[in-house]
Amino acid sequence: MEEQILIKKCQADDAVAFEELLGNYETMIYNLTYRFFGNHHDASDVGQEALLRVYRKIKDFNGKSSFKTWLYRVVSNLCLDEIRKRKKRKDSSLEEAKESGYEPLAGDVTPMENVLQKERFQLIQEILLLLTEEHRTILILKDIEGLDYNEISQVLNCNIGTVKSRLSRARESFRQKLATRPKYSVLIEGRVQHGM
Amino acid sequence: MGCDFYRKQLTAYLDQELNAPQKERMAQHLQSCQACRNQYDELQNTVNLLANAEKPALAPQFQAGWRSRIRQENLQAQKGFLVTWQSFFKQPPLFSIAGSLGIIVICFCMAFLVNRKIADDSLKTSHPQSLSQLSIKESPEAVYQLEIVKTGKQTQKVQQLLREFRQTHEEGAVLALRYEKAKLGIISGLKGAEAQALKEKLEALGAQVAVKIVAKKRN
Ligand SMILES: [Zn+2]
Repeated sequence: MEEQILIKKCQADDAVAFEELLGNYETMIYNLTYRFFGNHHDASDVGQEALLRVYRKIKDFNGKSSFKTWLYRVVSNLCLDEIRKRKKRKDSSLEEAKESGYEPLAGDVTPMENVLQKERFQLIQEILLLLTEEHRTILILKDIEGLDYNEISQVLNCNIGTVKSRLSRARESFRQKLATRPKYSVLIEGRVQHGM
Repeated sequence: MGCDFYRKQLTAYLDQELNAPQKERMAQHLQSCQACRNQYDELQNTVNLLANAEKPALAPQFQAGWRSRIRQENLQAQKGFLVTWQSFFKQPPLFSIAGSLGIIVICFCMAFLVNRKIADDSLKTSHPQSLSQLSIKESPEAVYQLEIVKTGKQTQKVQQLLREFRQTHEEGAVLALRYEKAKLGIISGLKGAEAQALKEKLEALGAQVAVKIVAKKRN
């Protein structure tokens, strides 16, 4: 069924249409929440909250941006709200638990047979979590999710100039943190492209 | 123009966001300047690393969980329990197929979780209560997950208790997996004391509850 029709149905409180429509985006939403939190437990919890928020807010979608861009905005904002909330208030969340020396046991079910792939996956995630939320967000949107400058400016509600300068600083920050990791040259081996 | 000027534009150059003259100037500078070229290579490696990042596998409890919560929210809005399940199956064939597939997926997830639990601790199946109680008291600082194995005879009261718990528990100790028809549920992200209290309430209603640690303190 065409997306426009599904969206209209969702806006008329059709829960079945909602499951069909968002079923097409659940991977995207999960990837996004996973990148923000770095573990399956939080990705699953916040991802579910995100879909509930989309369900409650879908009537606000007015078609000015694409539905995908609108989803990125709703989900990113929820993730950022959640991160700020956790920072402000010491609660019983897993993020907290991890900071105080806990290790998640559930999750990490990623079926990656290749050890190198798995290490690279973990390295990227570790470094993303070291960045400020602002830098993490823009790297997730641009370099992992592949949005263009224009889409990002819509998601973040800022102008293109801001996207450019923030992205530049975020990449530099990521690069610097990456360079301090002893294994990084092995992990990016084969990707080096010399010359223009 | 000095190197600083070009360094600031490297990101936009890499993303093909410079206009033609800017691009031309940048290309010329990179040919003549080894330092900026190195910087560019490093930047490109970083971007490639991120762009080729492996994707995390979707957690089954996420896939089953959001669908279930949407249905539940929809049910609450309609104030009828069976109504929506019936209407769900009264949809045109395509939806019924999608719905059935969804249920198969959910069943599969349940089977997966149940199997894993059995593999984790085969004794748990014969004496789930005493063993799980033990584990909560042993490490009250861990993060727990409760699973309703059987709701018992007071199904509706158990469901009501879970709904209330979810509403009062602000931190999103979320019902990660719930399948109304099989009357099974998982509540994750609980502290030891919370897990113990909820478990006792559930058991008082006759439900059978299994406990699992999802995170524990590093030594
Ligand atoms: Zn230079």
